[in-house]
Order: sequence, then C-alpha cells, then structure tokens
Amino acid sequence: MKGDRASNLASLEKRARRVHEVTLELLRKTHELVCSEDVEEREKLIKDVEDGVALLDVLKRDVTEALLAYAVRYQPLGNDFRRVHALLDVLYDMFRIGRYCREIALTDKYVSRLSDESLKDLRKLTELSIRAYEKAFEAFFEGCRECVDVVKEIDEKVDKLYVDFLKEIGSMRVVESKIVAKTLALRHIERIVDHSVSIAMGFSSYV
Amino acid sequence: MSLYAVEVEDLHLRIKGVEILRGVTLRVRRNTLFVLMGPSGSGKSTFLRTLNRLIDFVDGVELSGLVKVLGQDIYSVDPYDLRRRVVLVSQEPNPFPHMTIYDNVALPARLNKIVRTKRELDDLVRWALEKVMLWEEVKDRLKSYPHALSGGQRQRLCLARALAAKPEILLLDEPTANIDPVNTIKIEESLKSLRDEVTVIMVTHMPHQAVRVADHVALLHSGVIVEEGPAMEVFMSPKKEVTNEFLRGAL
Repeated sequence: MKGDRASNLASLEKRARRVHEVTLELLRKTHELVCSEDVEEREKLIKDVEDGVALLDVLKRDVTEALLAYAVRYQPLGNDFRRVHALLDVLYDMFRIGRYCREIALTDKYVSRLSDESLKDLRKLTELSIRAYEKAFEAFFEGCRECVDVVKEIDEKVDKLYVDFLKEIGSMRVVESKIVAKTLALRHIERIVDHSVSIAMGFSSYV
Repeated sequence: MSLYAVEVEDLHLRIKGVEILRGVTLRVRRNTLFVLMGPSGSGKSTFLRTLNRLIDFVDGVELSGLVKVLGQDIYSVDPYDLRRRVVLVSQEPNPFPHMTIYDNVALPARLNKIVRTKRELDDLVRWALEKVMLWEEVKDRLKSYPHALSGGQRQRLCLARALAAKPEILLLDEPTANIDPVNTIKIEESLKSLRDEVTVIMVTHMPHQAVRVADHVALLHSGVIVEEGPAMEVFMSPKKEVTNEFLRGAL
C-alpha cells in the first residue's frame, strides 16, 4: 500500500516534469521567434508555438485529472497533501506561461514583427524569462534556495523595465504598431516571470 | 477553575513491567474536541483509561507522574465520583441488553440522581437521544431492547447513555471503529455539536477522522507524544517526520 501510494506520487511528479519540458521548449521557441529574421523560419516557429500550447493544454488537463484522482483515492495529509497542492499550482503556472508564449507569437503574427532591429532589447528579455523559469524549476524540484532569489531579482528587473516602458509610452504623441507590439510582448514577458516567481515560491511546500 | 480539563505531566505507566506510556506531558483545554491519534499499540487506550482511573482495574499497573483532571489530582479524589464526571465510551457498543432503549439512557441519570421527576427524566432521555441523532429513529420504540438496533445505532445509544450522565469530560475510545459510514458521520456530527457542553477526548488510529472532527490533536507513538497542536496545523504542516509517516499510513 505504502509503495503503491509513494510510486503513484513519484509518477505524477515525473509527468509534471514532462509538462515542464514542453513549457521550456515553448519559451525557447518564443525566444527564437523574437531573434529570427528569416520569414520561413518564423512561420515555422509560430506554428511550433501554437502546437506546443495545444499539447500543453492536453498534458495539463491529464496530469490535473491524475492528481485529483490521487487526492480522492489516497486523501493525502501532511507533506503529501502539500506536494499535491503544489503540483496543481505549478501545472496552472505552466499552463499560463504557455498561453503567454502564444500571445507573444500572435502579437508577432498580427501586430508587428518582434525581431525588428528597433525592438532588439526584447531578445534579452525573452532570454531572461527563460532563465527565470529554469531557476524556478530548480528551486521547486531541487529545493535550490538561491534560485528563488535569482528568480526574484529577475522579476524586479523585468517589472522595472515594463513600468519604465509604460511611462515612456505615456509621453509619446503617436504610438506606432511596433511600439504596441513591444508593449504587449513586454507585458506577456512580465507575466511569464511572475508565474516563474510563483513556481519558485512553491519550493517550500514541495521539497 | 482551571482552564484545562486535563493536565498530564511526565506520566510513566508500566503494566507488569512493560512501559506503555513514557513521559507523557499533555494539556487539554476545556470544551475542545481533542483527538489523540496513533498507530495500534501506541498506548492511546491505556492513556484514556488512566484519566478516569479505569486503569486501576488492570493487574500490575505502576504509574508515576501527575494527572490532573478538572483541576484535581486524580489520586486525591474519589474514583467513583471521578468516573461520574469523566465517562468513557468504548469501541464495542455495550448497551445493557436486558434494559429497554429508554432505560439504558435513563440509568445514569437515575443512579446519579440528576433528575427529580419523571418528566425531567423523559426530557433528559429525549435530549440525549437527539444529541446523537437517534431520537427520530427510536422515539416510537423506546420500550424495545437494544438488540433490535443496528451496530451503529447501538453505539449511538451508548453515547446517549454517556451524555445522560451529564459528564464534564467524555472519553471516546475509537467509537466508530466497528460501524458503517452513515453512523460514523452521525456520531462525528454529534461530537462537534457537544463542544459547548463537554470536553471530548477521542482516541483514533484513523487520521482522516481526526481531520473531520478535531480542534486539537496529538500523536502518540510508542508511548511518547511525538507532536501536538491545532488540528489543521498538524495535518497541513506537520513538524515531525514521524507524524508525516503516520499521516501517510506508513507507521
């Protein structure tokens, strides 16, 4: 009974890690999209992001169902209860991050090309969002306390850039579509990093 | 009046040389539903029976430490008076088979002269049966004998009998261990509604039952209190690995 229960939870954790890999891949594709100038490559990247988000939806639903079934079957208490709760939270964070990647891709597709030379500072920001997300998972699954601080630092930095940019827009008389695209992309990156903070903070429940 | 219904300090208890309780220190506030959890053989029932000195009937008991119930050392008071104020309901339903349902509930009130008139006795019997959600099921057959009841109903009858004694502390030793889920829920609901009138100390080896009813819990393992605290704190953030193991069903 004990073995069955423990191995079930371990297998759910493994499935959550698989969702994490898909999310990370989405973030990388989004970064490539922001960097790439090749038309064909960019079209393929947008399609990859859309397919990745669809896969993420299915995985999130499946793992959530399995976690709920585990909770009903074993009615976990104590640390196991916290682990199940934390995994459910993380699944939601990953699902949201996927959605923001899709929003960035849509912005690129319909508003303005984000790899435009004048928007190149977005490249650094998508890179930062990947780092925040990776560190958040290191914190969550490996119990890396320093990683939590790294994620929080990135969050502060991105928040500041976002607010500064909003102020800049406020002073503009005319707002071009490029600026609209940058604003939307920045806002989505800011949310991705916020969800990374949420994942990182779950480490105390999980480890 | 002491804030605590029970105060135990460094209680050691041996039966025929075997140490069952090893330095138990515990306080139970008045009017709370306190649950003592622990795996089988951890000493829970022995602890419960110490509180109203039923343990005195066991051969070869040696006890040291302080046990105060309702502010008094249990060895400084008359044990019969103690057992009138601190009543135990055991795991096996044990109504008196030769007495009617009514008489089973009325007996302690008659013995302890709690009521003066037949009317008062009727009211008390009804009150006790209502408290355990049994009144509606038996009101038309109060003159029947307990064998006509199901196991769960018999257990609720015993609980009603205990309540009719108007105890200050109710000790429950795995009261739902042998009964069905519907009766279990009824007993648990009854217990929750008793808080204002009596202090309830319940022993269980089922953590999920403790989650449903307890205000405060303690885990007894091998005669030692491993962890105690407000129920939700212990169930959501246990501090000791042993507690986690118990909650996981691995002890």
